Amino acid sequence: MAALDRIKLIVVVIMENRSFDHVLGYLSLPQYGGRIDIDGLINPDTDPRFANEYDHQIYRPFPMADGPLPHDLPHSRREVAVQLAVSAGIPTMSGFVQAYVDMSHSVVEQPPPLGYLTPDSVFMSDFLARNYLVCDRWFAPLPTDTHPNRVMAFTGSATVDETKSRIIPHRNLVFDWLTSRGVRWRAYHCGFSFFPLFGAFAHILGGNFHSIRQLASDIDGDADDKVPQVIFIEPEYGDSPVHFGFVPNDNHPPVPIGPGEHFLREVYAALTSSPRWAETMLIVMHDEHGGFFDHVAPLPVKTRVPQSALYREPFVTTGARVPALVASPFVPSGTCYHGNLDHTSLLQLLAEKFAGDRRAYSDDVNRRIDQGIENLSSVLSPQQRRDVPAAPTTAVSVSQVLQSKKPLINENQKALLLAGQQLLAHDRAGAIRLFPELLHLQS
Amino acid sequence: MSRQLFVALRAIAPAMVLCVGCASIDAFSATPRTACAGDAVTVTWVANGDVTISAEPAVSDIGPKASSGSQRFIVDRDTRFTLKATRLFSCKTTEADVAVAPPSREYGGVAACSSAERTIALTVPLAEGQVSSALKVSSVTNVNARPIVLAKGSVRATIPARGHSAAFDREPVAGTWTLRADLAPGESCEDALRLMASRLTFRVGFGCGQ
Repeated sequence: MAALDRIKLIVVVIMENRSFDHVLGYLSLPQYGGRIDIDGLINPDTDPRFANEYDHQIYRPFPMADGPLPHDLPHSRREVAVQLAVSAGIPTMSGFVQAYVDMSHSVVEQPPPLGYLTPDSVFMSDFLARNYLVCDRWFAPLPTDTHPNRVMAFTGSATVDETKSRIIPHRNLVFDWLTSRGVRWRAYHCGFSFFPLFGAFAHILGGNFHSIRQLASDIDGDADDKVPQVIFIEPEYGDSPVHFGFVPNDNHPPVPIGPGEHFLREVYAALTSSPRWAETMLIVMHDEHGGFFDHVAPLPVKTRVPQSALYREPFVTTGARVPALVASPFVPSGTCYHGNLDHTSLLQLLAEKFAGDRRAYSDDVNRRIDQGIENLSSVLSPQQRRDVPAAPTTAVSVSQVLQSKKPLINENQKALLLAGQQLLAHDRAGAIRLFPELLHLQS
Repeated sequence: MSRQLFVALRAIAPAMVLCVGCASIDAFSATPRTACAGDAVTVTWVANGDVTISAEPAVSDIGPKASSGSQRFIVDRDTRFTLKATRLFSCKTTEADVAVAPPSREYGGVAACSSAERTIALTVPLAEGQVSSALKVSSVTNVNARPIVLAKGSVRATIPARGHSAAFDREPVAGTWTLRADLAPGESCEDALRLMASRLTFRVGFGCGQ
């Protein structure tokens, strides 16, 4: 029996806004094990691929302590174009400092986009990397920011090209696809969810959305014919209009990464405490690079503009690489998968698992298959492991501001506020039952 | 809080969301970014809001300033200047570092290839706003994996891959540098640029004074 056939539960955790080199690049450094099987920070002080230029001065990656960042980093479509610094048709990945200076007017010796984290900061990602599998060529599907890349992850097509305050037009939403095939699915959220941004309020209030606090008991307590086959897990978004009972842990700068690592530990502990772990595949990835440097050029994957799209210029490459890890009894310990993946690799996985054909999700996903985007099932091994490594007990000691006096200023904050208000208008009682923090919003 | 005040605050929330009256920073710089001890550094800023300039370590005459302006400060050590602009509900900050006599810096960038001339070339103008006129070259290193011809003014040197040259010693760092790397026989521009990640760089060791 193929490994995918033996997987009964697929769990997807999507974090925010970090690049591969920033989170996992250190794995290739000699002082952290020198994993040259991983395309990380190999000779970053001399290899020209790591040289970033601002005003003819060269800046290179440097170790960065975790903590709140002074600024969010540039990662809009226009700003990513500056970061990719295409020359003679080739993305040189040399413009990250330039984009940062353009946005922040900050010219410093160690520009934050070039900072990389080390195991003491990313203890849980380090644990997963050393005990399970790293994907070192998982790219954000589009060279732009949060909304378009999340839309690609959950629909396979790009109806928007930037994050704006609006309900996102979409088609082939993964919840619809799963429901239409009789697949049991659930979404677990910390605070307010991203999914109301799709306006699919019936899905959200229809009983499939649960608090993250129910995850462990649900998995243990649900009967075999009730337990979900696919789970999406959401962190507490820093851009959420209100926080109630959770600190932001989505990794989106300026939020530090420590709380996100703790969140991943809790998810892993909940999953591995159940006998169902023996048949589980946990996928942890980031939606986009968030303005952090990565040295690998995006893939030349063209994304056509769908008819309902709110923009005109097609994308001609993927975005930058993002950190991606797979934990499962069906992946070998301490390994790396080098195939080209992006968020639509998840949709291929679901199509193969639940429709028997990786090309069964949508034509948009198939166009990416035809351009070399692989199926995530490729990472699975037929050998089932019996060990369940215990997560580290590292304490998280970073500080973050829990109460901000700043006004809402970014488009994602405005969009989540809008979605919350519309959800309240749709069904105030139901919305507050699911997201009590929405009490603080006007409907 | 009275009901009326609560309603009034709710009414102005959209304005807060739109951030009317926010502080902003349009420009901030400290030049030269690489200096010698005792150099005067010019800090220039354009902002909206109440502006305060601070420095770490402290220098004289920092503090509240006009919303835009320019001022010279003397630096003896590596110094970070910070501009803070505040207005109504918001606060913006940004930073500018000045490095005093660092051991060396790498310069360069994305280069262009000419298949007619069979070279990859780059011009690197280092203006006095970027490096102090007092900074002198103490060494030059070719960081690239192939030989380069490096020139500045009347001085020119061919430096082997990863090699050093003393030809520029005691020359001012400021000025226009040119780098050239030849294509290997039969090598295409495309192949050469891929091997060099489209970049040409060189490292300059610094000295101050004579």
